Amino acid sequence: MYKDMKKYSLILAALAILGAASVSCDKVGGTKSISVSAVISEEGIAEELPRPDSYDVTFTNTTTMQSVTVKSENGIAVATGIIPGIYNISAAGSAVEGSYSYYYAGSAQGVSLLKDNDNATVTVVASKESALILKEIYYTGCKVTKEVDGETTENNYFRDQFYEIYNNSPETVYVDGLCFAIQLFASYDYSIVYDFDIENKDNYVFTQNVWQIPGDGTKYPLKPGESIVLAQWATDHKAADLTAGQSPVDLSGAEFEFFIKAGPVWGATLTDGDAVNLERVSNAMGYPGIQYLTSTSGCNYLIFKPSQPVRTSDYIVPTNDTPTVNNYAIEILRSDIIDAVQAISGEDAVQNIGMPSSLDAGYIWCSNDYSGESISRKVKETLADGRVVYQDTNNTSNDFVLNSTPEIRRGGAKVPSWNTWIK
Amino acid sequence: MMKVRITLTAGFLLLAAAGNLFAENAKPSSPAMVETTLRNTLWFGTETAAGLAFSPLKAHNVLDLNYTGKFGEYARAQDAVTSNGISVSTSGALMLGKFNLWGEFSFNNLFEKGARFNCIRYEVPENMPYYLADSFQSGWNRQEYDLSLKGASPVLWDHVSFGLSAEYLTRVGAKQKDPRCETYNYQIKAVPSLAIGLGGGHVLGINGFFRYGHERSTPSINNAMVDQKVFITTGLGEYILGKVGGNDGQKTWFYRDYEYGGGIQYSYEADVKLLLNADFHMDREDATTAPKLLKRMGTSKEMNISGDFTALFGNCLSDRLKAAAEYSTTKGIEYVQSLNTEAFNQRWEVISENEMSNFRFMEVSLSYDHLFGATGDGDYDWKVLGELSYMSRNYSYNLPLSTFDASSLYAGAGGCWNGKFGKADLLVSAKAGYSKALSGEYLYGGTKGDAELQNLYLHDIAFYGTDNLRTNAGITCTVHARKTHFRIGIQGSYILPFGLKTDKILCSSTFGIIF
Repeated sequence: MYKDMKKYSLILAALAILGAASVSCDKVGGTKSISVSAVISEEGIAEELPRPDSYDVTFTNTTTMQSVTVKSENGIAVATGIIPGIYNISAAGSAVEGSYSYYYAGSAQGVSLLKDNDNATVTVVASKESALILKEIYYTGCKVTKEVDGETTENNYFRDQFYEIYNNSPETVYVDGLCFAIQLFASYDYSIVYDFDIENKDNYVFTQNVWQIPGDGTKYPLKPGESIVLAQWATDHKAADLTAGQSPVDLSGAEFEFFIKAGPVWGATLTDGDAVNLERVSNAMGYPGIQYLTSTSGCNYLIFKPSQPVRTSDYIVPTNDTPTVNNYAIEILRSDIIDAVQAISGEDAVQNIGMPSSLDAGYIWCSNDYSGESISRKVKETLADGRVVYQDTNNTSNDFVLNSTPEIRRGGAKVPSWNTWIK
Repeated sequence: MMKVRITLTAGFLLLAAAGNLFAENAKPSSPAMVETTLRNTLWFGTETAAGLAFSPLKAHNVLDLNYTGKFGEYARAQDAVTSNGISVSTSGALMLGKFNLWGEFSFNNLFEKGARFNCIRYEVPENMPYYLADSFQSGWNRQEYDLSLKGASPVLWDHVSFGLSAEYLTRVGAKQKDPRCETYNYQIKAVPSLAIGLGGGHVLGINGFFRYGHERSTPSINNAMVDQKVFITTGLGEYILGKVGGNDGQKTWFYRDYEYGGGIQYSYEADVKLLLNADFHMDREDATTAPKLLKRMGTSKEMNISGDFTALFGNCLSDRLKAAAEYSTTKGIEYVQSLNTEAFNQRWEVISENEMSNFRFMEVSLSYDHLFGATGDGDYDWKVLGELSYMSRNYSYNLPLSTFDASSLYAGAGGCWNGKFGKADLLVSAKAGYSKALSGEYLYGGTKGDAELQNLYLHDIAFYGTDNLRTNAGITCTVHARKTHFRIGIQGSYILPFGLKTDKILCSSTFGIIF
């Protein structure tokens, strides 16, 4: 009996050890806050340019979206009390020399900051304030309710999207030849990030459609403080037969439109308005479509003046996906980009951003599709002559705000004199 | 899957029929006797089925058709305000040769309304904080198919028996309002066991426990015109905002749940019956999403220790004293992941994992019941019972710190009268109890200004942190006809919380046969 009891004791002891081992095998420790730093590298800034006194450095946790902004001292920004994780770090600074403002921006995406004293280097590049900037973008569309045979139906409407481009400089600029495009970098559900078959990939961004303002180089001047509106469809979207006042915009006075063809489409009859039609200089999708509409969840918007002819055939394809009409692409030189704005679908999409940080170190999102919201630039200053100068630090997180409703020429932007059709 | 279900069900029904053919004469013939049979077979309450070889379960068969209803807002936010359910269940035990077998099968069909803050899971365990939540009240339609069995070999070599306890559970749920989902939950449990008779009524038992659960849930919208906002939760009010609908909306979520562990028991059976049971389980549940580019959404790791002691004594085992305790602690693990964008090798790579939340639960209970007029076949005239329990929930999200603390003490007493009227029995029961909230506080220390998701925890802390009175009454009539006994019964419960303008009514009715 004693022998048996001893055996049972051994079994019990073995079980206890097994249990204890199971507990101790768990290697995940408790999480505590950490202090980390970002080192600002100014290697990319030409020697003759001024340097900012300090940078505002923002650490954003890509999982929790919690962010903290600190000022750098002697080129180092220290953030304390943050949780370990993957961070997007952006740095922004400015300096003035003579009558010009210079902006310095850079970011490091997806940096692992996991323990105390981890650090990352953020390389900043300088940009002279762009003359032309994307000032306001309305992409979300709106809800439209209609009474049909006594029943109320609710539909989505986004034929009223527009992009407003503003001359933020003290000099007249000609918009002839200016191109507009949406960046293509991943499959529609972000499950594949495209690897395009081209050498020196880092010199380019990619798109499917390039729309260009026509002109001979001097046809469409834009004076300081003036803006142009690129409408998806330059008509009064508040009209009774469209939305009966439920769209927030009347785009009949837009300067340009993305016109493809007139005729009936679902719920509307497209017309060629008074606006100048943009030229679709390249279409890698291969079919014209009915109307050029962009995602109501936001895109990466680009304006540029091509320094080399835009490719119109022999489109490139990603090496890591089956070539389809959805991923044939055209390359755009990054150095040609004048302005870029990254709008994402929501905070859960922060880990899927695709804009090179040298073009846009930040991002913004609206609350929902068809919310009727827009994004617009923050005002930097209003000059004595009344001209408004908008913030342009190449960081959409810093430069843009969310508006509950779009406003064409918000802040008193002026209409160019050659727009004779605006009412 | 359907074939497996049909085969298992057919097998079970055959087993039940066989049980009836080979059954002993002294079978329980009333609900009270069935209940006492299970009460007095202490090994039945453990996962060590092998113990049934030393203390066999009496043969019996029960077939029930049930209706259950729940009405009232006094419920956790994720539970239904209104629920109507129909179920068919059958259970029974028999000696097949020298093997003692027990089996149970049930099919439930539930129609619920008013549940909130869950648009992905069949049910949301409080210690698994990684799921999708929305703030709309919605209905859920659910179906549950549960098949369980326990079997014990004969006692071999005068000392040893082997046993197996197993369960197959499949559940299907569909949320009825956008953002909606269709979720499929499967669980299989296997617990092999060994019991060793030491002689003189002393028996030791040991089991190894394994359970695997799998849930696949796809969120969707019916109205394609409106993408729906959802909270991708990480616990105690923390979340990031996502959406259902559109190209970049939430994709299918998967949960894989592995629970393993073991238990040991000691029992003594002579004039009195004693059983001491201790279990230790580890449970890990992983949440992942977007199978095309698989991403970890979080993991819960639970350690659970429980133990109980039961003593049956008195004339015909008329008295039962039971004490039980359970403690569990769960770590909520969040992953730091980085997208490897290398062509043909794209995947989310785990850079590190952080323990971001902790869920501690404790329950201690003590109960006593006495049967007046107890007989050897499990019948009785009167039954009185008293119970006392303490429950504590202590949850925390570590950075930034948020806490959820609730504890309560419950005391209740009740009784049953088991009357005989010729060929009919009447079982009348009543019970009342009072739950005293000892603590109840939710402190959110995060940065999300949006209070919508915090309402989940504010609601639940009000649920747990409120004193409430619980009453229950029921009546069951059994009519005996040869070897078959028909029963019909109704039960009603009323829960009245103090300080809240809500309450809860639970009711059920059963028509069944004992054969």
